[in-house]
Amino acid sequence: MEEYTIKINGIEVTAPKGTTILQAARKAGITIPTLCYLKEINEIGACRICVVEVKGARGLCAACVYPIAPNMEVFTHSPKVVEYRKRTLELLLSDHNCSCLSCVRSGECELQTLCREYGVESETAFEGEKNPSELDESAVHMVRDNSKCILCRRCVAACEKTQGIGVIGANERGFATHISSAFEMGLGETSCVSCGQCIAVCPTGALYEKSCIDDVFKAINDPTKYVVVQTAPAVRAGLGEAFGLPIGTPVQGKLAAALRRLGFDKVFDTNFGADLTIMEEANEFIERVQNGGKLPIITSCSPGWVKFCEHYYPEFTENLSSCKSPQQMQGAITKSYFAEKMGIDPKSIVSVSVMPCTAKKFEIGRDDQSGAGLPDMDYTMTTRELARMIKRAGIRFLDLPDEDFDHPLGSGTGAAVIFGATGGVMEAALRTAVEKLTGETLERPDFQEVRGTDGIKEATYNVAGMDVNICVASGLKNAAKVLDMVKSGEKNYHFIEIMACPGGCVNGGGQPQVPASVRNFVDIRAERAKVLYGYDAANTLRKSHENPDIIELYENYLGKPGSHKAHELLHTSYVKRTVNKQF
Amino acid sequence: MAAIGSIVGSGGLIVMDEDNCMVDIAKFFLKFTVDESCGKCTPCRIGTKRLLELLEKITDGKGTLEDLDKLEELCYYIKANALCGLGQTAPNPVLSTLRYFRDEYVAHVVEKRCPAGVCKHLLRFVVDKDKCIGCGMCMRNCPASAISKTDYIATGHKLPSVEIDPNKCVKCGVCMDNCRFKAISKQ
Repeated sequence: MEEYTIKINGIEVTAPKGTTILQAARKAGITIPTLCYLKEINEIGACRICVVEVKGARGLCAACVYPIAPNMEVFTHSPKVVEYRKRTLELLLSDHNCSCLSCVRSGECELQTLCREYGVESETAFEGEKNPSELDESAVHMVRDNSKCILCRRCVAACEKTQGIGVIGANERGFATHISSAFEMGLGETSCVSCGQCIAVCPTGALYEKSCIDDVFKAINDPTKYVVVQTAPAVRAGLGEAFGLPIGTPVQGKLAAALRRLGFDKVFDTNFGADLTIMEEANEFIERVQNGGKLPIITSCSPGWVKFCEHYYPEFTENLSSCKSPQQMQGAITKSYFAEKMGIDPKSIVSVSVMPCTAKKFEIGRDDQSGAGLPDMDYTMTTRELARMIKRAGIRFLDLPDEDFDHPLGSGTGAAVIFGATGGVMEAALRTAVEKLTGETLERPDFQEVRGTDGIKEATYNVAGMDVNICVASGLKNAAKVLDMVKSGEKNYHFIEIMACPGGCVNGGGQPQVPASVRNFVDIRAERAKVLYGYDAANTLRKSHENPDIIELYENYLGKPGSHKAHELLHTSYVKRTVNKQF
Repeated sequence: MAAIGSIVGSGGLIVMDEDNCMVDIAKFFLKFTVDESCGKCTPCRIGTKRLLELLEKITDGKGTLEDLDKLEELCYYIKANALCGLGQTAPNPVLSTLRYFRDEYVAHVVEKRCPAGVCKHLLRFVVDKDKCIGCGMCMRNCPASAISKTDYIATGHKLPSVEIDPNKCVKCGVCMDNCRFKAISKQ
């Protein structure tokens, strides 16, 4: 590869041809600010905050997209550049709802941070007309507040390029440009799948989840309510970031301690629900293989993916596993088995979950999610919301001791905890299905082929004389590719795992937002996934069917996987939807 | 032409005289670019809009000398920072008129006067009562009913003169066009 040597602020840097000024500057130890730039999906040079002086160039150049050339001389922070960046910020503020004090993003807002860094002294350096704005609250999981939008279009890129959905885009032009859906439909009317990837990449407070913090606090403080909380695997890999810990810090023990101090009556782990899901799903897979059922079977843990399938690939809804997601299974068991065991009126139970996910807010309202005659789940909050709750309650998270989850729904195996990373559900299912099919014990239950952050992973395993073709996809654009290949007959899979978010739940739409300045240079999916594989490796139990509480649940309550009772509580059905309701 | 900073728009030639207000001309071209802006980059999307608003402030008679500096500064900022040719050239009409007709800008800002008599907010139609014979032609044609009779009767005339209510006047100039005695002028 051809290498170029250039000078950035007088420092010599050598980088391969095709490197952008932004990347080369990073190499020279210089951060150039960005707002619109997202590596690979939003390289549009639109916000102009990354402009730099290039010797000999007519105007300023956008460092995020400008490739280096031999002997180039770049000035990233000359007085002129700094002054102009400040002006860009002042212009953005002139059409921005600067109600920062009450903004959900305050303190973590990329625009706010840059204004501070560049010494913006007034929100009203430029005064003039502001764009009219109404909140779009039509979706069940999130709110769009365009008065805080800076039109970086990162959300549009996430929706269209990462997920292949594209239900949002820029409408109108010039000063009237704004992000919304086709024909100004509310997001709730479109075929948005609620994945929340748009929120995850938003630099400001323009996009945020609908919060249930107040309702949960109210339930906790209501003495007539028995409030049970469960927390998803990926939360323990992301929550620490909200408290200043580096990306990829495991915080399971502190998480349990914090939930207990918030006042939840029982602190459970969705890992239990995940183990239960594997019991049911592995059984369903074996049954479909042995009885000529619909194949490939596709996992149904990711509610964003399930909604995507219903909207865009309704012909595959029969392929979806009928298993509920771990969250919903755990909810159903909480209000049935657990309530009976403890002698609690299930009606007094308020079931809360902490999820790395915004689509869960859609999922809890789905039909056929009331196994015990009551809604399986009452509230679901994102990792971000939990961080806010912990801060509001004055809990010093970093000083907390490591505690364990409560029994009986707080135990999970290594197979369960890896649900949060792409390939994890597949690996967990294989650990159980292979042992069941062969009747032999897996000595090393590691399926390396399905690990890693690749969007599509394939493998073939010979299990009990049969070649089992499996595929793992994360990110809905990849999911669509896989389904198209299945549809055309190009691929013949038996088992497919699909997660809506790229990298799986660790990179879910409800995880703490990572500023683009970090996101563009660090693979947050891999860093967070390492946490989960670490927990898996450290666990003495690594197969779902070895979880003693799961064994007890089946022995005393459910019978066996796929039993009538199990079906009543743990399985669900799907609907066929169309793309954009209006048409 | 470019070398002397005369590029305004497309490179076509437009002949103008003292009846064209150069601030108004700049505003006209800016309106075009604000309409044509695609809305992608910040300098063009918001910058040209703010530029236009500053020009409007000046032609409305609310501008200050600081606004002229701000205007010029914003122009250079947009030229250097905009993503495409539209934004990069959008401030040219402002820069060009500021360079060659700065006195007109200053008249708008300091004297609150539009030398070419174009900017309506800075215009005033006045009646020379000694020329007015009180025929009422202007009154009948005024679309805003802003003209009424006064008590003043000039020597040699039988009818009272008229006066214009500046609060009602819409600065359309119909009264002036209809006066056969050249008794109405704009200031």
